[in-house]
Order: sequence, then C-alpha cells, then structure tokens
Amino acid sequence: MLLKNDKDKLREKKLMEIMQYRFAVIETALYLDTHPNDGDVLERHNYYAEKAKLLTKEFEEKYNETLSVFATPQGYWTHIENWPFGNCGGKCNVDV
Amino acid sequence: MWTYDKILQYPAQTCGKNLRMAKNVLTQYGGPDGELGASLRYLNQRYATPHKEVRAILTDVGTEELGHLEMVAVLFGQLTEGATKDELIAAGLDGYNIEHGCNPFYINTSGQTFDTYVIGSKGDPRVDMYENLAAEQKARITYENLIKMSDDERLNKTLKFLREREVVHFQRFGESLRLIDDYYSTDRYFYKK
Repeated sequence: MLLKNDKDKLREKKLMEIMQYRFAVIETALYLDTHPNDGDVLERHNYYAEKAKLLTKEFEEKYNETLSVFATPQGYWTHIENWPFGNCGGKCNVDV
Repeated sequence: MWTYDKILQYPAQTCGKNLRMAKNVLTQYGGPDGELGASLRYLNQRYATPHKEVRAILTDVGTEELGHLEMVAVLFGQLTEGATKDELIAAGLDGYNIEHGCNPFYINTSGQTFDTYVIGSKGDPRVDMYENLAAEQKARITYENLIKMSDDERLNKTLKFLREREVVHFQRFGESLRLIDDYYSTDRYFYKK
C-alpha cells in the first residue's frame, strides 16, 4: 500500500465530498422519478445538484483534472490521468 | 446518450488480495443476478413502456447499475492484485487467468458465462415491473450471501452499500408498479358511457 501525503489526502477528501453530493443527487432523482410533484424533495435535489456542480468545478480547477469529458483542463488534456480503477502502474496486477 | 464521469459512485475498498472472494464477487459483475444483467434489463425495457415516470426510473436505475458494474470490477482488481501463479492455481483461477488475464469477465461463481436469457423483457409494463422487483431481490440476496462468505470488513462495507441500493431500487420499482396498476384500474374511455 502506498503512503499518502497530505496533498493526496486533501484531494481524496474533496473527492469524497463530491461523491456524497452526487449520491444525494442520484438518490433524490430516483425518488422524484416516482414522486415528480414532491416540492420539498425537488428543492433538496436542486440544492444537492448545485453543490455537486460547484464542488466539481472547484476540484477540476484546483487540480487541473477532469471528472467528465465536459471539463476544461488547462495546458494539457488531463482527462487521460487519474482513473478510479487500475492503478497498478501499467503492469498486469497478477504476478505470473 | 451517456457520458462517463471519472468518479466511482462509492469508494470500492477491500483489505487486499483475496482470490477466493475475487472469484465470488464476479457473479455480481456478470452472473445471472449481477449488475450487467440488471443494467441491460432496465435500459432495454424503457423504450416501449407507456408511463413517463417508469421511463425515468428505468433509465436512471439502469444507469446507476452501470456504475455498480464498475465498482464490482474495481473490487475484483483489488482482490486479485499481486496474485502469484501458485495462488491462482490454488484458488482455481488458473483457467480464468488463461482466458481473461486480469480482466473481470461476465461469469457467475461457477464460471458460466452471461446469457441474455436471464433477462425478462416481455413488453407488458406490469409483467416487466414484476420481473424487475424479482431481479432486485435476487441481487440483494446474492450480496447478502457474498457478505456471509467474506471475512474482509472493507469489502463487506462496499458490498453492504451495493446491497442497500438494491433495496432502494426495489422500493422505487414497487412505486412504479403502483403507478401502472392505478393507470389500468381507471376508466380510460374517450367517450362518456
């Protein structure tokens, strides 16, 4: 297991926060699909969606990363970096 | 259309190499009650369903299941990371490694490949929704059985999240069935009798 420095920890924390808001967006969306006239939940959904959008934009700008193809990274197409899977340095993860 | 977001729905975590559980979690990747089948089932049924609420829920749950498919793949990667030849042979995964290397593949715990025959898609809104309710229950119990077979606490935490999602989807599909039933139990004549 790799040791994480403070910078990585902060990045992870910010990513987790985005995950939490995104989860709330998805959860309220599913509820609204079958309760489209529930104004209270609609209001909460809109709040979570706005937060998720804002935090995503902040994250992408701070780390010059992309979370979606709609991001606008600077200097280099960073979309090829930082995948949420397969972090084994290009090597096959089985030692045969 | 869809676009990809480079973030997991929930952090998929394990305590590391565990080939026995790697083999077992694959069933939720491409087993009969796994995430692939779930996603294909809902995304397929949504086109001909007459209710807009049901179209919405099938689209959104079908999309979320693709995110779960990704999470199970990440679990498989962590559970196989660093496995040696001898360990693969001991776990009965040598044949698997010959066919698929380190890729996750669409098979159940006994190695049977995915077949679309496990998907019910009859084109009747009520029939299809009963199929979906059953599918969510089968997926839930499969996650519970996996948790019972696992001693990895971090893996179990991730599996519990995925299990909980099946419960929520079951709830939403139950509400969808009620909407469909209400529709068919009201008078839909275009003229006064």
